[in-house]
Amino acid sequence: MDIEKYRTMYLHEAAEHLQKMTELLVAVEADPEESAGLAALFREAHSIKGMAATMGYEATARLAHHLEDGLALCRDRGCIDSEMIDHLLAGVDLLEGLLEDIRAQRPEREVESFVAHGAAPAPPVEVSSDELELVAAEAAEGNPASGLQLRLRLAETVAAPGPRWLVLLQRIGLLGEILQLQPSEEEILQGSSSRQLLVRLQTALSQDEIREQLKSYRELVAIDFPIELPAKGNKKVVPRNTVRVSTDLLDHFINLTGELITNRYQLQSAAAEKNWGDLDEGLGQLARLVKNLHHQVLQVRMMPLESVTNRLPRAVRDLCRSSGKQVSFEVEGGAIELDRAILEELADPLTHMIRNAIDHGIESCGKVQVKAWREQDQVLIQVTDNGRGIDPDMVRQRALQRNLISPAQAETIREYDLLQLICQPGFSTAQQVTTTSGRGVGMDVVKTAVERLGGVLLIDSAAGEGTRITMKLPLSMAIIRVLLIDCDQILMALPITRVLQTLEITQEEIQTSGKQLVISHQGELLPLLSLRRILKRTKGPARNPLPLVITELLGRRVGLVVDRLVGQREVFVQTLPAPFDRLRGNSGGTILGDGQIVFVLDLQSLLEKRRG
Amino acid sequence: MTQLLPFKLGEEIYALDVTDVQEVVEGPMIYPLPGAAAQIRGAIGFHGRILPVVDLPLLLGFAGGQRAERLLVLIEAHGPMVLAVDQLQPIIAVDLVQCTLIQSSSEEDCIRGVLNWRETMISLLNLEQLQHRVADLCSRSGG
Repeated sequence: MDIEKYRTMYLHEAAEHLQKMTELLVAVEADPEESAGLAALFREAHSIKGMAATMGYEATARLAHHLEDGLALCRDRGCIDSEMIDHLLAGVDLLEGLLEDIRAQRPEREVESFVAHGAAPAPPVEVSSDELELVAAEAAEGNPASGLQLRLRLAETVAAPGPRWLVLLQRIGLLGEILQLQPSEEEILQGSSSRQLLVRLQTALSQDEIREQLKSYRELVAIDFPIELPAKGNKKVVPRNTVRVSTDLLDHFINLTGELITNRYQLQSAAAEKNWGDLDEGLGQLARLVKNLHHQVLQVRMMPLESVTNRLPRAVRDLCRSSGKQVSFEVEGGAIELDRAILEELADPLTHMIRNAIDHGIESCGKVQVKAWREQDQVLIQVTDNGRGIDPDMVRQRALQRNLISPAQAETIREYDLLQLICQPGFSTAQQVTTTSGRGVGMDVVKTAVERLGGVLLIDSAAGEGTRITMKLPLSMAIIRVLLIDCDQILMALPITRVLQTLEITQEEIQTSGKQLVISHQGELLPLLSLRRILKRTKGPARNPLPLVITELLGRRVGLVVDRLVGQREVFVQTLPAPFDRLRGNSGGTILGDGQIVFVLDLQSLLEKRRG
Repeated sequence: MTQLLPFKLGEEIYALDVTDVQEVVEGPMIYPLPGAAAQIRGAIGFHGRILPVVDLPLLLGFAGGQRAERLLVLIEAHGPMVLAVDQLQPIIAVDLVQCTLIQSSSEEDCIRGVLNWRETMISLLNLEQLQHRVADLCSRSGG
C-alpha cells in the first residue's frame, strides 16, 4: 500500500507543478524579456521529469524531458515566440492527460508522436475488455490480499436500478469494506442504469455467507464471485478528499486541545466544590476556547480565491489566440479566502463569465478584470469588462420572442430587471453562438450555481460602457448567518445573503396590480408573496403593520410577507441524510441552542416546484 | 431466534427485526420540513442530528387512522431515518425458519413475507423496499 501513498503524493505535486507551468507560460508570453520566468519554467519541467522517473512513469518523464529541451533552446536563443508557447502549452496539456492516466491507473498514453512531430496524439484507443482483464489479472496477482470479487445482477423488472444499488450497497457495506465498485458510486448517483454491479469486498465472510446475507433481495437474479474484475478506466478506489493543512494550524489545534483539557478539570473541580464563581469563570473560558476552535476549524476549510483564478489567464490567452482579440486580464484580491466547497463550485461559473466577456463584450481589444473583496461576512466577486455592454433593447426583444415577458411588461420593466433576464434558461442574445459560449447560454447556470451557494448575482451594464457582473457569496457554507422568521408558529431561516432588506409596511401601502398585490418601494413596484401561501399553510390573521422581507426570486425583487421577523443568528447548517437531501424547499437545517430545529428555506426551489 | 418488534398499522400487524431499530422515542417535537410531501412528517432532533420522520401508515396507504405517535429510529444503515407508527406491541421471539414465510410477489406493499404467529398474521416489513419508496418520494417532490 506504500506505493499507493507515493502515487497520491506524486499526483498532488505533479498537478501543482503543471499548474505553475501553465501560469508561467502565460506570464512569459506577456513579458518575453523576463528571463527569470524561463528559468522557473525550466525548473518546473525538471522537477516533473525527476519525480516521474523516480516513480517509473516513463512517458511522463520522456515528455517532460522534451519540454525541458524546448525551454533550453529558448533560453539559449534568448527569446520565445507564441508558436513555441502553443507547443509548450500543448505539452503541458498532454502531461495533464498522462496524470489522468496515472490517476485512473491506466497505462500512460503515447507521447512519441508529440515528441517527434510536435503533434498531440489521437485520443487513446479503447482497449478491448479482454486485454484489460489480462492487465487486471496481472495486477491482482501481485496483490493477493485484494478482497473478494462479488458480481450482482438485478432483475430486468427493476425500474430504477440506481436507487436500488444504493440501498444494496449500504447493506453490502455492513458485510465488509467496499474496496472497489463498478460502476462507481458516483456513476450510480448520476443515474447509471447498469444492471450489473461488481464489488471488491474486504470481508471475513465466506462466499456462502454472503449469498445467505443477500438472499432476501429477490430483485437480485444472480450473485456470483468471478475470478477477476474486468478493469476499465474507472478502476479506482473511492477517491479520498484531502486537504493540506499548515503545521502552524495543527500546532494551534494541539494547544487548543490542551487548554480544553485544563478547562475540563477546572470545571469539574468547580462543580464538585459547588464554587459558582469558578464555574462561571470556567464557562466563560470554555466559550472563548470553543469560539477559537470554531474559527480555526473553519480556517482549515478556507482557500484563497487564487486557487481558482490562477487557471483563468490560460483560458483568456487561449480565447485571445482563437478569436484574434487582444484582451488584458487582471485579478485583484486573489488572496481573499473562501470555503473550499464554495470555491469548487465557483470555478466553472467564473470561467464562463470570463468567456462571455471576451466573446461578446470585448470587440477587438479591451480589458477584463476580476476583483474580489470582503464585506463583513460576505465575499463579493466582480467580473468587469470594458466592452460593448448589453443592449437593453436587444434583451427586451429577445425576452418578448421567448415569451419571458408580456408585451405590457416589456413597456414597464426597469432596465435593472431587464438585464437579469439574461439569466433565464435558454436566453441568448448572441446572433451567432460561438463554440466557446453564446451570450446567455450558461448565465442561467452561473446564476443557479451562485444561488445554490446562498449568494446573489447582480448584472449591471450600459451600452458601450461594458458589463459588470457581481457575485455576493457567503464566506463559508457550513456556518452561515441567517434571518430567523416566524410563519404559522414555525421558526424558519433565510440565508442573510438572500435578504436584500427587511421592513414593515402598513395595509394602506398595499396596492393592487391586476390580481397581484404590490407595494411601491424605492420607486419600484414589488409584488407581494405570502410565505404561508408558498408553504401551503392556513391563512394567518390580518396584521397591521406587515413584516416584509425583500429578496430576489426567479430574477425579480419581491416582498415576502412573513408573520414575524425574529432576528439574525449565526448557525451551523446540517444537510439532511440521503435521500432526504434531495427534497426541494430547504437547504438543510440547524438545531438552535434550545433544541428547536429550524430549516433554511430555499424559496427559489419551492416556487419552481409550484410552477413546474 | 429472531426478535421482532410488532406494531399496528390500521388493522394489520407489521413487524421489524429489532436489530434494525436503534431506539424507540415518544413525543419529541416534530418540526415540519418545508416543501416535503405529507408522507414526510418532518424531522426530529436526535443526539444532535436532524433526522427526517416518515409517516409509515400514510406512506403505505393506511389513511384515516389517528396520527402515529411512536417513533422508531432505524439504524444508520437504513438512512438513518425515523418511522412513525401506531400502537407498538411487546417484542416477540420467533424462529423464522420454523415459520412459513409467505412470499409476497409485489414490491408495492414493502413486505418481505408474512408469518403466522399464534394465529396472528404478522407482515415483515421490507426496509430496503421501503427506503426505495422513500427515495422515490424525495426525488419526485425534489429534483
